[in-house]
Amino acid sequence: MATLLRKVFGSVSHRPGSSSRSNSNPQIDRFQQMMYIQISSVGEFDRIPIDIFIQILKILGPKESAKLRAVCKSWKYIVSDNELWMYFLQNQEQPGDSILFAETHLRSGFPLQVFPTQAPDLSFMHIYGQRVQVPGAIIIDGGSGYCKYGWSKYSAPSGRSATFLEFGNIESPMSSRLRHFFSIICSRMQLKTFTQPIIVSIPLRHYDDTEFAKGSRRQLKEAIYSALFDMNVPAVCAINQATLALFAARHTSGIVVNIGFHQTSIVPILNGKIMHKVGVEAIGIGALKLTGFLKEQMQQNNVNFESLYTVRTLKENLCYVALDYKAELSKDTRASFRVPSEGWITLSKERFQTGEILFQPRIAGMQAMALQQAVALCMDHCQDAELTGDNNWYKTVILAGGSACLPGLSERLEKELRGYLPTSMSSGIRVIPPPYGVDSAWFGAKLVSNLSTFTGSWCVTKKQFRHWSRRKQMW
Amino acid sequence: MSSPEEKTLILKSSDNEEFLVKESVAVQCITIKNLVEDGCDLDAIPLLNVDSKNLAWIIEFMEKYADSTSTDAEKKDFDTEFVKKPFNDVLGLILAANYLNFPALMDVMCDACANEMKLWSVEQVREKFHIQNDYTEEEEKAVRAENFWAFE
Repeated sequence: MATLLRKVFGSVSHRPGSSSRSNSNPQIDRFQQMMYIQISSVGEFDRIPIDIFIQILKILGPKESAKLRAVCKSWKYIVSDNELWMYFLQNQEQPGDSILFAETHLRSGFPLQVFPTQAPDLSFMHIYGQRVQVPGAIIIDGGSGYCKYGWSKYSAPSGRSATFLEFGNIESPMSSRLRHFFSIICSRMQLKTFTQPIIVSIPLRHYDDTEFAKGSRRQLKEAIYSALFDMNVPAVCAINQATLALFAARHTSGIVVNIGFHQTSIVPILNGKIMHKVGVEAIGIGALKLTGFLKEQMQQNNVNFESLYTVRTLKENLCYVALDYKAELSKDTRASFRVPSEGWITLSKERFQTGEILFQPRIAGMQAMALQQAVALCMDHCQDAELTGDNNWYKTVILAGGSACLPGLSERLEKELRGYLPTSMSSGIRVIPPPYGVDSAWFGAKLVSNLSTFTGSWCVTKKQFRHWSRRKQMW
Repeated sequence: MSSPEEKTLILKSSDNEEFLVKESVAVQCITIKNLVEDGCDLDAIPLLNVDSKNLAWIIEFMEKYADSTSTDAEKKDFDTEFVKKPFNDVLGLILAANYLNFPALMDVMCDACANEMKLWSVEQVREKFHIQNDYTEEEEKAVRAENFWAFE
């Protein structure tokens, strides 16, 4: 008995002060629990230290452990331990800190809670139980370049399609075109129909703060809902691509630099909301231009290749961004890659000149703004807008998009920004490389779709949507 | 002079039985390893919290695990037989392994304990651990409802 008391007291003493808010809060008054343990006879487990009990619980697993709460009151308390349930949550395919981030910051859905819920105020056991009940959802992250689709309970997208080849411009808000797109994805996933909730990423388009742009954005979102509900999907969650990439990086505020297929967007996001008022910058350089430039360089330098596919493969495997362009030019930067069906191809300067056009567009003969200028401009606008007391929300820059995975890109951008901005602005700037590589938005969607509150706080049902559309049509 | 690998230690159980064990085998127990390093091994090493029954088993386990000729498959077979003991003895070995800080034995015994517990209903758990149910009927219903997903 003494060992148990000592151990329980010991393990309780380093928990933050109890908050007896509601009776559903498992962190019941510490002394009340002591009384329970004192008066009940705990038998054999008397002698076993709590940390060993917890070790055995971890081996038993979440379900068996939860069942043991019905044994007696002191076991109920011990099994509710937050650290134990954090361990169980971590053993799912998402990393523990992503789950922790999501459950503390995103529980409420939009609008996001400004202050995250503190971990000790949450019962991870209840969160585990709720998450277990969240139905699997289908994730569709489609942009103008590539579309990735898959299931929320799986560890990665199960398929990819080249949207630009097959569907033309899916961003034009025509319900029928979207329906066609979604039904093709459905069959690619080998489903007859969609019976699960679907979480869709909304591509970046119509950035301005004008009424027209706002209207276009709303139309796109409605067309997505409409197309999916026409296909009898039970619930839909549509979130902007940039916001999803931000969530994947475990942030709710920051500047997302999305290097897309046709262009690069610089998107300031505060508390999960895109700040159109502040201004979303766009540069007309994207994956397509990068591949095109590499192709030209290869042709100029007499490097033989058969197809654009080869050029793209080389871009993805040999290209990088130099920290110091001038210095890199005088180095020996040759490297080779074996392209299937074409064999070994060697590149040298082309490797880092390709990514360089983002920082020096004139190399490609373009008049566009350089990446660091655009980001700096965005930061300037954010600072001027003075949206919150905290002047650091826009200093975290998150890269997203396949081309943003070029090695060295984040370091170079950070270096350029520090050089470009005055020290007052540049202190605290961090450039984060794409979380989860090419699939940032997809993983952001996975994060949201596995939330304990996903179906309640994030999804719109068909009924809700119809009701809302009918009301709109009345005006 | 015998080389360190061949040195034999005398381990004394709480009920004063003495066991001879090679040092290289005994130091799998970190508690014993520390005592040896601190030079406390001149006479018999008293293990106050381990009785002879448990100590004999622990030595059996240590010797199997220290044997470099036994394969992983053989160790697994040994483990399977080794854990076939009454549940109270399984718990006793867990406590002893904890006291002696013997991770390999801890893992095997905790696994065995969990494997047994998995098969029991809540009522059986109470029986095996001699636990008094201090819930009222409503309270127990409420706990089961709270974690209904585990009882499905």
